[in-house]
Amino acid sequence: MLGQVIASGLAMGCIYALVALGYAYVWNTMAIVNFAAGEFLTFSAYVFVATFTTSLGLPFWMALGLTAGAMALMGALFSRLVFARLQRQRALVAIIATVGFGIFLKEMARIIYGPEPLLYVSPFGDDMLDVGGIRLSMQQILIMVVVVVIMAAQYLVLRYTMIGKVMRATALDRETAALMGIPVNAVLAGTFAFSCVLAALAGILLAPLFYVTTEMGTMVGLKGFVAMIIGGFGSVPGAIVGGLLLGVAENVGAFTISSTYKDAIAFTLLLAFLVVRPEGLIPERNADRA
Amino acid sequence: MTFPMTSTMTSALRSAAWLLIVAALFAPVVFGLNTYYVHVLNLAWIFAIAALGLSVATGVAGQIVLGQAALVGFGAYATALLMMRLSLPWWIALPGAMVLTGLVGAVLGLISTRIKGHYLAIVTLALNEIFRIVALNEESLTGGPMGLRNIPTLHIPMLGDNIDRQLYLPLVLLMFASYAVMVHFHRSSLGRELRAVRDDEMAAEAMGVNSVRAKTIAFVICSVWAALAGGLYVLLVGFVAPTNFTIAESIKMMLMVVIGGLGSIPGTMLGAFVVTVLPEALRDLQTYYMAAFGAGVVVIMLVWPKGLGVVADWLCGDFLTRGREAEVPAPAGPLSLAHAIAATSSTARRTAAEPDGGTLMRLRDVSRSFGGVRALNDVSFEVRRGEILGVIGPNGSGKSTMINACSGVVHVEGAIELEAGRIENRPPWDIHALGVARIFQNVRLWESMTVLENVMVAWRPVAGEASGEAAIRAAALAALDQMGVRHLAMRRARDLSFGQSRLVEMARAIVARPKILLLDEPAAGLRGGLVLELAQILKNLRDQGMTVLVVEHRIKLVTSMCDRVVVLNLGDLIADGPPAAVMETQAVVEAYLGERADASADAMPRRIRRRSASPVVVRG
Repeated sequence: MLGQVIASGLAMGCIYALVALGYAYVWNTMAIVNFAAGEFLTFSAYVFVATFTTSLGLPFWMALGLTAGAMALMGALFSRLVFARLQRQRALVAIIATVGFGIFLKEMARIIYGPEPLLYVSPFGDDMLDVGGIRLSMQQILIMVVVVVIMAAQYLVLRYTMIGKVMRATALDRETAALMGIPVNAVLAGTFAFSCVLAALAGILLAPLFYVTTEMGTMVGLKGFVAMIIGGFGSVPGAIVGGLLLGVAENVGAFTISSTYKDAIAFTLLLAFLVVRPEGLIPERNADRA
Repeated sequence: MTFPMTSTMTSALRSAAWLLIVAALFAPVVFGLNTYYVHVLNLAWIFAIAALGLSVATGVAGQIVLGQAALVGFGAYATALLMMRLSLPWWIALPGAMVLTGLVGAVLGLISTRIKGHYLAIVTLALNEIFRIVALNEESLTGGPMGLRNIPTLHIPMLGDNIDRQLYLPLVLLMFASYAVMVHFHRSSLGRELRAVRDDEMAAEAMGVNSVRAKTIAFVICSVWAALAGGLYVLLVGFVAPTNFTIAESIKMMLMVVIGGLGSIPGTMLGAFVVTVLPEALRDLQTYYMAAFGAGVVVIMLVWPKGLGVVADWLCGDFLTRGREAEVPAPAGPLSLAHAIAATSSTARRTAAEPDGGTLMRLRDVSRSFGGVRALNDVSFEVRRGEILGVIGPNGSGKSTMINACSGVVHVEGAIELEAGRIENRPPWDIHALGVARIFQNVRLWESMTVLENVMVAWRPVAGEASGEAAIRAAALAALDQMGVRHLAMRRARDLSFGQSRLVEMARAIVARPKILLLDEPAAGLRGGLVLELAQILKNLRDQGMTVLVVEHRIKLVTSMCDRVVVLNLGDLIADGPPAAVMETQAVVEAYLGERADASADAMPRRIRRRSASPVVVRG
């Protein structure tokens, strides 16, 4: 039974890892935490389910691609119009402004798509697959596969391609990067767009597991942030490890201690980490000082 | 505020505005407003009190709290439980709840000294959520999702026929009283300390502000107002439930503070009013209201950060700042220290402390590493009472680290003694209290505060002399006068030029009459003439009995004003002695110019000699 609990925790952990990775990318290039990430997730789940799947009747993969594209565009715009301007401000101002934008996105989802929760049935069916005695739903397997592919892809891109080198250079020293002819603003907008795509994927993958509501992303966004702190503020491998750890710990805790306090477990873990190991599991060089 | 009108016109306009406000506040009572609207107004006053606490913690002290609703909830549940379980009357239950919540705030404050910025934001959010979950699930105590009902409410029969009418005027009065108390606090010395911590925590600590105490006080204030609001809510509506204290409510209170112009206390009152009443006024647009609100916050943060605070601060006028200092005419021409030199020398009283008056401060085997780099390597030297000691050395030789160690900003191995006591690794504010003041290499003033307030923060009482606001003010003005910048007293620090800021920072450093003054490149960014005038001022300060340790790059300045010089190179002390002798030392010459090459490169030293006007002579 515990194996089963860990496996489904891993699936949820993959979602946290996606969101945490988005935070890490944005933190590394812009040194801001986007407190609206959870609402980007909510919004993209609505766009995916209500617009592309229900209204336009597109097949899964096409709807997924279009949603990711739409969210990337929105992210790039937001980055250029708002986020870039927040960089010169104190952390407090940036936090409050992104919280404000989160409210805006959540309310826009409600205005456009209505207050009723949306039900989305996974196109891969409800079949359970038996993997070494542990039963996983197709959706859980899909989540893990997508996340593994994304993690591998971002690693390869960051490590071996020109785009990756440009991004890393911008993250390390923006002024020097600009002097070397790197279009820094485009790189920043691109990075933010990528973090939005990650949030969109998380929203799309979560849609069949829960009802799509305006609140669905809020808690996931916060826990993704918790995952990044646990893994190491701004650390890319830390975000992945932290996400998986949080997902498993939450499920095991809910199973062994109390399921009513499931949400509190993640935050208790956060407090414990801030006291014992504030730099996280895999500390990052230019982390925010706790 | 630069209104193109005379001050009498302004104050007449302000009085008229207040008359209107008071009339509007009484209108609901006089005209018998619909009970529902009176209820909404009552909620606005209660929210205003809750947001007032947040305004102090976040706006004034700069600590991000995204969990204020949980503190309000804690106060509300505590009030309710004290009344229901212990059958206490409201006038004991409410203050009791405020004390309990204040204790929670003190713990939060201690946490906040370890956790800053983004971490504090997420931790307070997390605590809010944990509070909600606990309130939801611990049914035996909190009543679970249904909450606590039938709590005895407050009745004042003579004020109206239902509870909302009865409590309307008391709530209005209580709210205005709360704000008056906090406005007074804002301009008190503690309020100044909180603002200094917000603007630049490191500078605040180095200039004597105990940041742990300041933050704890900020959180206690935040919690106490939250508890008062929560208790009043219970006394007004008679029930509490977990849904009243969600993260969304916390964010709503943060919006009140933001719309009120982060940092403006009276602005928060307007913010609370707008955030609570506007949705009712715009009921038909309810669908779009929250979306517009979210977008509004982003726009305000980007383009209009002062928010409604502009209006509120104007309404409060002098009450916010206390009377302004009479303007001193600005000197004609560029910034000059000629007057300051006269001021310092006229008060010069040559004390018994001669340059060789014994040891004031001694460093023994002080070491410090950053990663693999050894910034200080077993450095030992002493500072004698009443001298100007120059510390020179090439870039990266550990000079700034040494100043940081002496002022408690970085921790080191080894010993630093001031008179008889050890000061290494002690909190910066303790070291400041013992008589060590400093300036920073890059000027670090508290930018949102006035020049006068900047200097007042660093003032410390002297036994047997007058203290209190008037004395602090007089001492700060005298210090500004000594630096020749008294005419800038009422300016915001962020509006000063670099040279002016430097002089204000000097005034801030000397206002507490320190035993030793640590100066990290005081002449950087000053134009030529001013540099020599600064040297004269330092000499005058020395003649008044102050000891000065100065890190400087300009050899000319060092030789003209220092009594003694020590030279650091790559963390090592390589020379110590009178300026002229030190400059001749072989090790110093090598550290600055590299080792001497042999006859084959004979031309090079000569070229260097011609180019540098400094007395560092390479004899080739």
